[in-house]
Amino acid sequence: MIESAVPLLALVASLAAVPLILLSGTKPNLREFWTLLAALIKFCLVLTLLPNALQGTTTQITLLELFPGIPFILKADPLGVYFALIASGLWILTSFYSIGYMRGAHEKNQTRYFASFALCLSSTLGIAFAGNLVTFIVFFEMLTLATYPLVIHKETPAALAASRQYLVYTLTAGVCLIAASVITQVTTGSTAFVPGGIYTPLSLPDPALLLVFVLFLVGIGVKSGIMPLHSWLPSAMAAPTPVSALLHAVAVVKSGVFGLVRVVGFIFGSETLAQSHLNILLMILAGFTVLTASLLAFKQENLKKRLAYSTVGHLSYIVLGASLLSPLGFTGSILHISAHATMKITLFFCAGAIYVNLHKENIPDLNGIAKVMPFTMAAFTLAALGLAGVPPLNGFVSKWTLAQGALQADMLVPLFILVISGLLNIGYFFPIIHRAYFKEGEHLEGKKEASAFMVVPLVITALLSVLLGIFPNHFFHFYDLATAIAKTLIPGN
Amino acid sequence: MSLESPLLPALIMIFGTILIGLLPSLLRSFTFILLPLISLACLWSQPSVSNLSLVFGTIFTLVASLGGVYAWHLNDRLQQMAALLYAGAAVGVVLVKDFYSLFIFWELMAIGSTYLIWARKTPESAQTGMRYLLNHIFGGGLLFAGILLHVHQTGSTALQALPDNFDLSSLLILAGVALNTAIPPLHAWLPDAYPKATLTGSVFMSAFTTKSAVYVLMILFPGWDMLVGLGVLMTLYGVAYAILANDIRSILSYHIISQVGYMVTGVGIGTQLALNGAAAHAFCHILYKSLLFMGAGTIIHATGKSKLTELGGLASSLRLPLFLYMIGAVSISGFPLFNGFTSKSLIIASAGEAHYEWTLLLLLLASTGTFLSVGLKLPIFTWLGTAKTPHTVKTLPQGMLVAMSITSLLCFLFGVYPSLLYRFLPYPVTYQPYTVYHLVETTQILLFTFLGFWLLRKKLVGEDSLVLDVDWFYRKSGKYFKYVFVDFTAFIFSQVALTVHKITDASILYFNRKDNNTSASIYTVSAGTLLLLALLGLAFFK
Amino acid sequence: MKTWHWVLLGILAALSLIVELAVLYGHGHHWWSVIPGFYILWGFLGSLVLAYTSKWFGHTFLSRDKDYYEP
Repeated sequence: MIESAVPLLALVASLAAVPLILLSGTKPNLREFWTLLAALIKFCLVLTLLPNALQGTTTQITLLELFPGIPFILKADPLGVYFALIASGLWILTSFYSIGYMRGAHEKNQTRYFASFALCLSSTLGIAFAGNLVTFIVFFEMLTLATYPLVIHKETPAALAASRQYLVYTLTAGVCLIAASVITQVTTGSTAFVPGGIYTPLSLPDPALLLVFVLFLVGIGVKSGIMPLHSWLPSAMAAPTPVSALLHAVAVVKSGVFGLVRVVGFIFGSETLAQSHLNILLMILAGFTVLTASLLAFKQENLKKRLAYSTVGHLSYIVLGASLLSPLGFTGSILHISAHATMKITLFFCAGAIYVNLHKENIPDLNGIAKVMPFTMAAFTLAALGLAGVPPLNGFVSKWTLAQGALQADMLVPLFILVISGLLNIGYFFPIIHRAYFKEGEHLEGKKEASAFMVVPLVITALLSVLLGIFPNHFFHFYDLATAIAKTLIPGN
Repeated sequence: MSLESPLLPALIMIFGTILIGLLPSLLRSFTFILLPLISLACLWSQPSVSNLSLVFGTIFTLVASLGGVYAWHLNDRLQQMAALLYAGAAVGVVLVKDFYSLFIFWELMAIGSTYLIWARKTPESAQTGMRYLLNHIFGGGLLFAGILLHVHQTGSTALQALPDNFDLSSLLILAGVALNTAIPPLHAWLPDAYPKATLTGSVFMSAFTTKSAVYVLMILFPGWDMLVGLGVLMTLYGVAYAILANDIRSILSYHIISQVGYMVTGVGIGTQLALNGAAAHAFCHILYKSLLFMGAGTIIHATGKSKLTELGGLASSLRLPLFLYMIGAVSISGFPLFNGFTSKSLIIASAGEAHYEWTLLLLLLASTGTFLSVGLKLPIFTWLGTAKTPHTVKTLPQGMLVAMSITSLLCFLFGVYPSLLYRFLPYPVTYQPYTVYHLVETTQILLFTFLGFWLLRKKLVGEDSLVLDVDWFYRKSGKYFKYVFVDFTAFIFSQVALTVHKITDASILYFNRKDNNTSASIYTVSAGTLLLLALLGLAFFK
Repeated sequence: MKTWHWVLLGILAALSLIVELAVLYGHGHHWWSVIPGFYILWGFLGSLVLAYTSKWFGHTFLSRDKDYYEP
């Protein structure tokens, strides 16, 4: 346990950028400079927390005592640092991408956009570093509110409807989350995230435990895209693609599943859940989501909507892994947080690049675009392969680990669900790839690859997915971190 | 995954993929031919490579290079990259020592080979390619599940023979490998896809997927009795369907199944002679099968047609391809002086030695069928006789003829000098192919098969109809699966979404009647609900 | 197929039978080794059986129109 202001500073880095961005509205390059600077500083600060996290040490700072015994506290523990690394690192790339996208599409209200984005990233880091449920909820709701201007950005009827649906879902979830936290505080005397959980098998009788668990599930499940609470996600594709990319593929939904791992591993704990078999409930929901979301993806003609359903499915890989309550199950779950992030953000980046460059957003219109946008489609193909679990991408590493986790928990069904899901992924991604490469395109004369601001980030994330697939520990020691975190969550370790 | 030097030959070709992607056309074709030869040299300089890996690795790199010669005229960057990736991954499969690496190369092969189908850019190839990809990812999934179970149960990822106690893990692995080996009923992807791939692509495909799977079969399942029956079934199944087939590449594709059946039988018999035979036959089969596909490719390139019902009358315009094709044909039929005579017979002899007498007879029966279709029916109806449709014959790229010539020479070389191959087989070889017995047996079978063909030649003409295979099950029912799983699910969810929307819109409208600010009223409701829940909670648990 | 082709094949066939009877008789390991010219029968009858059975099976059960799989 180390006391340090670094977690707070990392959080504040983008918060501080908000007024600067708002004030630079008339000078776009200066405004974008603030974003990029904040992103870089944020990432570097988080990076400094990595060595401690690798040793299992938590860096913390208490901000306030809200009530006696209920602090408002930031704890950069290994899992928190893991998530923060992904979010802040990918924000750098997304910011570059945003520049290319917003300018290429001549979007309005760019100042509001960049300011909200910075606020969102602060909230995300707050979620990552939240030391207890109270802090978590504050930043969780802050994230919801900060993403509202981004979802509603285009101010089209679709965007308005989507953001209304988004608010209703997430705020209702917030209420359930608060209720569940209150009950937790009353029952266990704490809301702190402790590896192994603060509940014991004797804390509550089973029916009561079920109620609290369901409340948490609804609270966290909306942002985690667990069915049937998922439908805000496809609707939210009305937002500009960089928003979809970072927030809905990386930050908002990952906050959801991150929260779920927190609740499963650090609030309830493996022992309590195993005792009451509540993890089976979670497993069923997750398994159902994985398969159903993939089946629904086939029906989507809009590229981003198809990616949204793919996201719903893959988020439940993470939930499924956590529900196994086995070391490799947790490891795989945590690994998939980063694996899915890099792969899905690549796909969304590609979708946005295609939209800005060729003004196409529906799959039947994508014939022949690989000739015109070779790098984009190459990155798309790599990311799609990774999501299907094909080596040597990081999606394969997490899928393999998750499958091992299932066997560790003596379960075969999750293994087969993963295999079937891989097949379904191929089924809904490869027709797109086939169209792009092997069909004749129309109206593509004179078109070139999209702007470098967009293409460079997506190539980087695609290559990162390959690199982390071959060397899972490269750069950030993701594999070691995930394994170490998993170990702390299993009793007796 | 760690970079071990035993995998270097494979990695040279796989990373070479990136290299050739950057080169211009002529240099690309040249490098494509060169890289596998470099891998071959590297392979032979590796210290601890097993004989089996050496045999398979050698023929794989050789045929990759020969395929490159055949495809010299090709200027399709991505297709050439895909072919090299595919070949390199196949080399990887026969060099790995653990399951994890095996799986990686296995999947890479599927990716590379799918491209070769889609690259043909016909409507049929689009659908076939998707079916092919799904089949192979499905097979990969079975392999994945089996490997994970195996590793979980034994704690080891080392590739070694599995005990034939029919564990779930072993059966899953067998199923996954069986799909790539094209053992019925998991075979239908092969005759579906190979005739529709590019002309240069099917040369590669005929060599790598099935034979790398045979290698894995030899390592993991030697002596599994069920493989004997399955193998014999394969040999006859392939031959029967080939008799019914009309497209020249379909005939050859079904014959792949038939010939691989010999190898599977050999693995099942499991004796040293049988396993030697499987390895030798794999080696020789790759040579003559690629030659045969090359020949078929010349026909299709020259005339644009591939059906027996449309060909004929090409003997004068395509004389050299006919001659070179016939070398492949006599090789596959097991004529003395060519490599089929010196390889297939090891397996047949091993069946006899192990007292699998009916197996032996049935394998010989399949040989009859092979000569019938590949040695007689295909060349006669394609080249000889009168043209059934008018032809405009295009000139053939020189590379095609050069590649076929070299391959023919190799078929002849290993036919007259078999010990060149025998000395590298996994087990010591005492077998002698050129015995009086073998010569008499072969002469009699071939001569009288010819007589049989001659008498039935009118009956054996091609028929332009579709012949159903087991893929009927998933091709016909695919529609219904889609209705049930995709359309119906989507319908349910859209109804649910509609209902939820109505509820949320109504409730927002309701609250807006009292307040002007939507968010504020939501918060009021939330706060109220929260308080209520908290009170409930306290009451419940105290 | 010209006449001299048939003559050649006939000579080959006869030769194989002579060699079989002269050199191999009594050395066979299988139950059919006592039948001289067994492989002649097996090759000839085999080709007929294969051809007929495959064609019959194909025509009866498996043959469909070229456009069978098109929707």
